[in-house]
Amino acid sequence: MTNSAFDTYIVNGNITVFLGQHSTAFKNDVLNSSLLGSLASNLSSVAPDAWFYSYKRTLGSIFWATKADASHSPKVKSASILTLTELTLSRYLTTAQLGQLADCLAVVKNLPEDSEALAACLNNVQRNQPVEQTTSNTARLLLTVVCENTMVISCNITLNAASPVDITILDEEFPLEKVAPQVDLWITYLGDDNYAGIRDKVIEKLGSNIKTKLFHLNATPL
Amino acid sequence: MMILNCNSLDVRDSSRGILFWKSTSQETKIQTAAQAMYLNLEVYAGIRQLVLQKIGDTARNALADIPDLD
Repeated sequence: MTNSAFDTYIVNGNITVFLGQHSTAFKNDVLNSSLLGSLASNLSSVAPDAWFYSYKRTLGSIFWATKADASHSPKVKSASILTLTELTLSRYLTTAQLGQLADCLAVVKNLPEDSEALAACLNNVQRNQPVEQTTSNTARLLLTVVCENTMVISCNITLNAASPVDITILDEEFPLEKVAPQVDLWITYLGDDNYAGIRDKVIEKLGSNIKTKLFHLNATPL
Repeated sequence: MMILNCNSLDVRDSSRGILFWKSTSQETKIQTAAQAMYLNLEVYAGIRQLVLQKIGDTARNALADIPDLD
């Protein structure tokens, strides 16, 4: 069984986009394991670098097979999540797919203000702020793009803006502090055969989080 | 035949200025190694299930190590 051409989910405040056709079972496996990695990493670390390291280690141990792993710090004076993503993923995605990605980010940004999915995403983006502060200049977001050939591109972006960030950072450029943004790229394939052996354990571990931390946005191209 | 290949690229770029003088230096080190290998399928067939079991156990242990998320 396959679903429609492109699909967006909020996974514990991070964004996962499926481009092209995928089976429901495959989508659930990617979403559940990504949710597990994200929740487990939140428990162990808040610092952006350490968080993504923990995320990769967790998923690597449950059959996300690494194809490539890279980091870079583009020297830009202003940026949004979208511009940094385009800069990083233009090698892997077509212009049309990058356009779909832009549409997805716009869908998330324009969610109703009282939307739980929007609140989760904003809370995650601003997660690095000190507890006593209500605003943050640092934004971190994991954008996961699942291509039609089942390649999973995890793009972890951290940037320090010159002013407090909000959800518009998804596709509107903010002036940056002197520290260059950090973009971590992790390209993987989910080993379906092996994953099948632990699928039930992952679901059991997640418990009610699948209902409370996973949001499906019925995204269609704008 | 499989070829195991390992590459290491180390690029250093430094620049410093004193008054009106500026000096720069660049250094690149590339190390590469390759090894041709064959997998003996007959021998491996005898341990295939053990290897798969071991990999599955590693994943199950990793899951068990994650604290309760609910």
